[in-house]
Amino acid sequence: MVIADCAGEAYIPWESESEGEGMNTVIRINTRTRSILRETVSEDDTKWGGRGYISHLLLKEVPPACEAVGRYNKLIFSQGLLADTSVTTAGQMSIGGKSPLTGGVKESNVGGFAARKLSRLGIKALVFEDTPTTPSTDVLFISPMDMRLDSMPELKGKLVDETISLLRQKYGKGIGIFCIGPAGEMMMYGAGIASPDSDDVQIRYAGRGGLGALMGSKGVKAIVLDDRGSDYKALYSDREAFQKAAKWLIDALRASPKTENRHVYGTPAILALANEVGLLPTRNFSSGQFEFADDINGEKVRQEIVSRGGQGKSGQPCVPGCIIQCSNIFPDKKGKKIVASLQYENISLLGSNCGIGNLDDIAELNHLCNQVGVDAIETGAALGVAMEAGVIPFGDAEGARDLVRQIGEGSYLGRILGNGAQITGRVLGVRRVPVIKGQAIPGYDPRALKGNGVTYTTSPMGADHTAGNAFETLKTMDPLKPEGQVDASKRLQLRAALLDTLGLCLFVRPPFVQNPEKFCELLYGRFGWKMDVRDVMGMAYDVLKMEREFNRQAGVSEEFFPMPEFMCDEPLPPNNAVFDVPMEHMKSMWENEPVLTQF
Amino acid sequence: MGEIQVYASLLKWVRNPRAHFNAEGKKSVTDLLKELGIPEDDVAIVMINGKRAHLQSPVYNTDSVKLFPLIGGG
Repeated sequence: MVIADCAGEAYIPWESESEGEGMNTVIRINTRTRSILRETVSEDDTKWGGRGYISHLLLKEVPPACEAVGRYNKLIFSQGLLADTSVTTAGQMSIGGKSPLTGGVKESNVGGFAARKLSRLGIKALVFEDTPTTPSTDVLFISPMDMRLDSMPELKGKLVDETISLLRQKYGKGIGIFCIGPAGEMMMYGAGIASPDSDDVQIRYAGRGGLGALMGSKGVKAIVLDDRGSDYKALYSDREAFQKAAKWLIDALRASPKTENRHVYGTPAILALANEVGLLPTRNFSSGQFEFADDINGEKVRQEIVSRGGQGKSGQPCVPGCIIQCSNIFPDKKGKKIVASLQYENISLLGSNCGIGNLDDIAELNHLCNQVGVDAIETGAALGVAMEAGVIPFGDAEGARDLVRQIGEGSYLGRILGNGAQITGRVLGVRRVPVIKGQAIPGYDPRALKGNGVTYTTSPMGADHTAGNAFETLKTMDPLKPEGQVDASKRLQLRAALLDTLGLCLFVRPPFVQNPEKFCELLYGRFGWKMDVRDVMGMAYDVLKMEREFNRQAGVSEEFFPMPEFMCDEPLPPNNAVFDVPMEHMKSMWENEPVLTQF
Repeated sequence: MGEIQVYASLLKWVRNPRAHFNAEGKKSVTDLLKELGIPEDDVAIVMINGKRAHLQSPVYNTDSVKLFPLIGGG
């Protein structure tokens, strides 16, 4: 067996009897010369998908020390290995590059409709290279017959809803879309990349890491995917084996109580527990409990959706074919949609972290973030820092809305906030800034959930809960004790790396913990790869190794970006906990090969 | 009287999310669950007065008990 070293070469650790065709077409778009090339990837590269393919390409092709919004960085849209299959939750689009915000590797994945369009076109990845010599507002259009960059100056500065609507007018209803708002065009480091569903109700975001700024730096406002007339079909090596494993997953998910809670209450289901155990970010991370938590929790979200009716709905899918359906449409008092979907992270950062205890206010703020094109987590943290600086008081929802509008308008204050919490803190002279590797800490205060503190510090992704969320260890571990957190985070990071590489949602985790061999069955059924659990987990391990190597060369290893000092010095009410997992323990996380025989 | 509050999918077993209980006669959380008709297996996390507790933990009339089902991170 050959286990790839960090260079990510020669990754052939298993034998293939492949009769199935992998998605092996990559489209390279040079934004300077405007050339668009279709290439067939090497056999080695077909073994990588989603996050893994991004890490692999970054390490191979992007100088780690390059400027994130400069011409040598690349913006990569990458399909998970199971993207073109019917397995539930497939269709998460991995988007990545060198992160403007962290300076290290970044993969952010997003649901929506467009990833499915890309897989129906048989395209494994889009790679945007170089930067235009003059400011551009381009739209990449791909159909089975055509690939071109359309110049659309009329989209310049348009909000996300307006952009989507103008694209539908020009290209038709059935297209898939990725786009940025004005914040991305202005290269603000808090900008994300949006993707609507088929009827433009859900606006999903690859929010984290500032990838919207990277897209803006390429002069690309949107990507339009038209799969009509495509004859691409995923060829299965053993369709029956695949379908058997895919059906197992659906049955197992349906039997999990987590699925019921996610379906009915959405991700906000966890807010009440987060508050009760004292980890809910409140008033710029000065408390772990919010006195108005009962007014913004998952039960309240559900109650408002049911009682207001109209367009309000729970149990909505973010990708076609998902059976968990954790998204919602949050309506105003008259039943008209304010935002879709209203998620836990956004409620905690834009709500309690800003001292705002009213769901309508939070939903409005979330909608505005989606419109101007910024990550709601990063922006909520930046607003909290601005509130601490006294720009507006905590709890001032109208003031906060004005500030988010200013991000879209590009006022100097708006640009400061749109560049994220770290820059906001620096400009406004605030010492308490909740960031690691320049990226805002999401909705779990690391002092009260120390496993997440370890993930924020050690993950190649910086402060990002999706890289290994220890919330699920609350049942079995004491979240306040430093012991055991490094091992827990390590396991969680491997799980996340694997699911992000397959292109599945993190919420399918529970059934695979008991039955990790099902991964092998899915990959065998699709590609004919004969892998055991060790091989599959080895793939996740190699993804992390490549990412850590990229970050090492980029100068963003964890020892230089520790937990913010206030998290180690200021006890967090109500548990009065500080973050006290020693750096030397965190640094040594990967010194020994992890246990790869379990998920 | 003590107070008990249940969340998320546990709500389907009760009429009101919040209820009062009388803990006289040395009761545990399990006894409360029986009185309320909530299956033990559905309860993942028990908090009493803001501290982590268990199904076997005793309850008193001064207590605030909160029950959570198995829920996963966002």
